[in-house]
Amino acid sequence: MPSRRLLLLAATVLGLLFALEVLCRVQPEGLAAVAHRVRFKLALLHEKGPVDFVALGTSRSNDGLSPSLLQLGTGFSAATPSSSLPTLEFQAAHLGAQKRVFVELSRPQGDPTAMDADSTPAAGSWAGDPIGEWLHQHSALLQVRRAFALENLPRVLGLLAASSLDGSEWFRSRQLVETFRPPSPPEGVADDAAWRPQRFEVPPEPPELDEDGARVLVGYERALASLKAQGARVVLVGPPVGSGLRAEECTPERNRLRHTIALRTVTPLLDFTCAEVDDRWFVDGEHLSSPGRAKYSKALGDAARALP
Amino acid sequence: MLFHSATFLVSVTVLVALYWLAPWHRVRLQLLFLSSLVFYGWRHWPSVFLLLGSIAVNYTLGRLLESRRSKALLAFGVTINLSFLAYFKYGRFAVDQLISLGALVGVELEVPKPDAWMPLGISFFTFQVIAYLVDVYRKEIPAERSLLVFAVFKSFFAQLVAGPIVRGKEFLPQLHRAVPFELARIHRGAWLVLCGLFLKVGVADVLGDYVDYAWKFPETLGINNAWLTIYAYAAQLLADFWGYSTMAVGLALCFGLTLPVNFENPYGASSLRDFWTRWHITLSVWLRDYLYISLGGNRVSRGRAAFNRLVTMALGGLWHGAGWNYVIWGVLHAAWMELELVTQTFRARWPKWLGVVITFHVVVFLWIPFRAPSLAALGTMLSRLVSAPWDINTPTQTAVMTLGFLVLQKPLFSLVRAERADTLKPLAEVALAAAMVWLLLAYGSARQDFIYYVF
Repeated sequence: MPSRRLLLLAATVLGLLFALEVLCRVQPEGLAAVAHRVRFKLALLHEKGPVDFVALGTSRSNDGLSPSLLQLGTGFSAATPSSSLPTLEFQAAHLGAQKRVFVELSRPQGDPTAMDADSTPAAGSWAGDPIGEWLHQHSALLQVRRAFALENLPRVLGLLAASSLDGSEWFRSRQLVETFRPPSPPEGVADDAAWRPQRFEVPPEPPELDEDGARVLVGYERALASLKAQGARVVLVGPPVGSGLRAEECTPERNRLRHTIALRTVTPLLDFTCAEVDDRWFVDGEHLSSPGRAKYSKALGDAARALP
Repeated sequence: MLFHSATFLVSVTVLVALYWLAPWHRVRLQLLFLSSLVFYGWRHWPSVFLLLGSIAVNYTLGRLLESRRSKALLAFGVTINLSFLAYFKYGRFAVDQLISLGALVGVELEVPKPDAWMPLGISFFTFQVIAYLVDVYRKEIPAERSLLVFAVFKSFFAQLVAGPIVRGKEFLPQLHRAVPFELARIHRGAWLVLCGLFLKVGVADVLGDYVDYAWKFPETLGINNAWLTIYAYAAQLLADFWGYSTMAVGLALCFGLTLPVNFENPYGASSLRDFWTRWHITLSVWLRDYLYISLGGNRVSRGRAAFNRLVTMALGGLWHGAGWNYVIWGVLHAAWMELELVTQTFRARWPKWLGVVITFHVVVFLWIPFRAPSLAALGTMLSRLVSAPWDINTPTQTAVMTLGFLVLQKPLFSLVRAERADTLKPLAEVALAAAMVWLLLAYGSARQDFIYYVF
């Protein structure tokens, strides 16, 4: 019966779309948490309940920090593999009241990735498709469509078991690489002395910042003000990097920028960027491996406890 | 208007309903013609005038050719059509070459460049109408008497901008026949539209995001990502053009019309010659019938036949775009086909799978100059393929999708057929449709034009 087959095909396509649209309207927050990595981490923290400290940052902090190893009480890693100012500002605004927050201080990408980068296309790309644009603006399903990606579905389980998680279990994209690499560092690496935050002479009058530096400063000022307004004690953190990246990040100009941000925001800074740690602590020269994570987490915990 | 835009999909659904509700065949044709003009002018309305002018000129030429079988008139018709193609598509390229040539001999030329606007699908409808004029001249078909039928033949939106290149003898008679409404045909059409949409948005565009990025910065690619880029592009190009063609065939079916199939598992070909009977079939047939045979085909000396093949492939390459990379691509295809001819006896002893593997990799490698945005980028990509460090990050999604799509070619081609809509079990059809919608939602990429729109 061709009419029945056609009806069945149309009902499947339209019915599925309609059912999912309804689901997305009934459960917008839950699906948004599954769709977006940043929202997911925040939802996970919310479900977990009060903690003693939260770490915010990019993939360097996401891969480099294990909250339990900091020995500062219960912690949560809300860091995600994103490195944009809008992401940081969004996280800061939605983190809720926290006792202590570690905020990674690295130079965010020049072309910031917006919050909804893994969602629907930007409105401008709908030129010539008015119905598509209307759907883009009005469909709840299109806003959270990535919630239905197979790799995001395990986040549902994460939200259900949030109380037993500390956020560091998610998004370590280099886990597979770590599996195939020998544990690092091999015996003989003795760089314990390097694992401490650096101090720099800061000129009494911080120099003028270039346009990009000013953009970064403004972004951090907003994010930190938002966190402090919610009652958090904020600590800025510069994670360690391998020698290749260190040559780019640990320059007088970059050092000045980081320290200027700390000065202007009146926030303590634990800066490991120039720490001359061995490259073998890293998976790829930028992201710490599992032993590197343990080493850095302990070093950061020690430094944080020493803060007045 | 793009086939995979919501506006198009909603509009075409309404159009199908109106088409079949129209009581007279003539009204249906008028609807098709008007909607084709809207479709074509959606992005750039002045293009419609070029289309209308082409319809009027070629309709008249066809009638004249029938009444007076003149080689000069045919040459005039072919030349006038090619001149528009040359102006809009190759004008800037030709001027650039002229300026470069002048600079080479120390002369600074100041030649005005033609308008940058290129009408969509001009390569496709130029070839379609040249075939029509030649067929009329050869008395293979009569000149079309109805201006409306000819206008629909020339402008039917499903195949206007990226083929398949339909021939008068297969399409014009269909436009004269008033076929009865048949749900089974619409069911087949809807199945193909869904499959084509999935291929385009769910496969081609997703891979395209990665491929485009890789070609933008080829110097940053590790050896693993350079190799993934070339395989992903092979998958993207097929999914894109096959997806478009599948949607075109499906859309035509919804209006009771049959368009030729353009792809037949091309990466399963056991030789490059075989490949060209499976890839963009309507273009291959066109080049054979109207260029290769006109040059003398293979009924000439061996050397001349090889030359004919070289010219056909080089011009076939140039048809794809105004750039030397396309010519190089065509010439390399011709060269490999000559090599296949020379080694024919030797290759006959090979198992078929070996021929398929070798041909597939030749095709993949020859796509590199085809895709390269510049000769410099081509050189960079080739060097990254042989000497580059291993990137620590390989995008898993792209790798899995590329591998899955390329390995599953045979079952995919058996699934994406109009007749499969009849033979699939209802439960299997529902499950496949639901899976496609699901994957489109979850993974479908931001919209991009069909790659072949620019050819």
